Amino acid sequence: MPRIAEATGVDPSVVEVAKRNLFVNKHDVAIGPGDIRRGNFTADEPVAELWKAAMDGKELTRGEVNQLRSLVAHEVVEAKLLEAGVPYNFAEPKLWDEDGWYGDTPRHAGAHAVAPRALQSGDDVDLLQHWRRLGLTPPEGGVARDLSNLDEIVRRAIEGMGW
Amino acid sequence: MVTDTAAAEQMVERLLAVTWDDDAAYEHQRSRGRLTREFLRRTAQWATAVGAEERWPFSDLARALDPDVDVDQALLAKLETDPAAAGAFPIRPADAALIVRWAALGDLPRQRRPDLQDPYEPLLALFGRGGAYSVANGFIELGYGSFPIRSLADRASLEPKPIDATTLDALDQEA
Repeated sequence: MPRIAEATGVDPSVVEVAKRNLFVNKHDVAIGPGDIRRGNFTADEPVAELWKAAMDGKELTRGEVNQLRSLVAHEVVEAKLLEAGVPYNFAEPKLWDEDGWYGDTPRHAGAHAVAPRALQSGDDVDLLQHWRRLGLTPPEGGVARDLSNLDEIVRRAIEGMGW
Repeated sequence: MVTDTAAAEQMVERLLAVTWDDDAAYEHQRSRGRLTREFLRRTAQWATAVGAEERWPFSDLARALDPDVDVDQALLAKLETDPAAAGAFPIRPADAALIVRWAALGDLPRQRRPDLQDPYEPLLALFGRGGAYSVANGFIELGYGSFPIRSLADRASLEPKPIDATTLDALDQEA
């Protein structure tokens, strides 16, 4: 993980947590009402390509570094919430509409929905912009650029959601 | 070869004007779900019809329909804006290029397959109701809510649902 850590300015141990969540660990994911499947995350090609480019030491644009950093932030917070027993998402029929759209609610939000927004390329994107809809209070300054406050974000999520 | 340059240029301008509006994305979450469903259904049917199953729902339908479709690289390069200056959920340039190439086909899709609907009309409507999306773990992530992509066969077999503005507004009101 040192190359991704170097590219993003994030501690290698943090990147390792993200990698395990993204590529190694198996997860229970609801893909429809009452329909939970267990497995690895489905590799989306651009995500896999971005990760591989960073691993191979290719020079990344600033936008790509931002994407990677937000992806790591998302995966780490999600992993820690899953570890704390929070579901990835929910299979409750009331959270799925007749079209098959899934929407978390402030009372019923899973680890994926609460985690920082992933794959955001912009310098100034607030990765916790969705928190106000969930009634959560982000730390001042949001997600730190070196991702050094992810544990604090996890703590606030767990306390705020009443988990 | 069919290349409607004016339509392609207009589409580039339209896509460049798309920005993320968090409030709108939140208010329109149900209709964004409907539009995503319709995008998946229509692209699945087109992909099946023209043999562009690989990389669906982001396969190059335009090139599959007309391998000679040609869009000026300089025009496509306009879509390569600085990602670091983007807001949340920018349109992925590769997806934008697919939409522009489709626009460059002009009337060809309607002439060849009048039974199939415009595959990208739902996405263009979605962009106008809060902005774009990202893709992760088999879902189209809409900022608020998400939609499972599932299989091409599954999505191609869906029945069409209306995506006119009145219906979409009613869905959002209902939510």
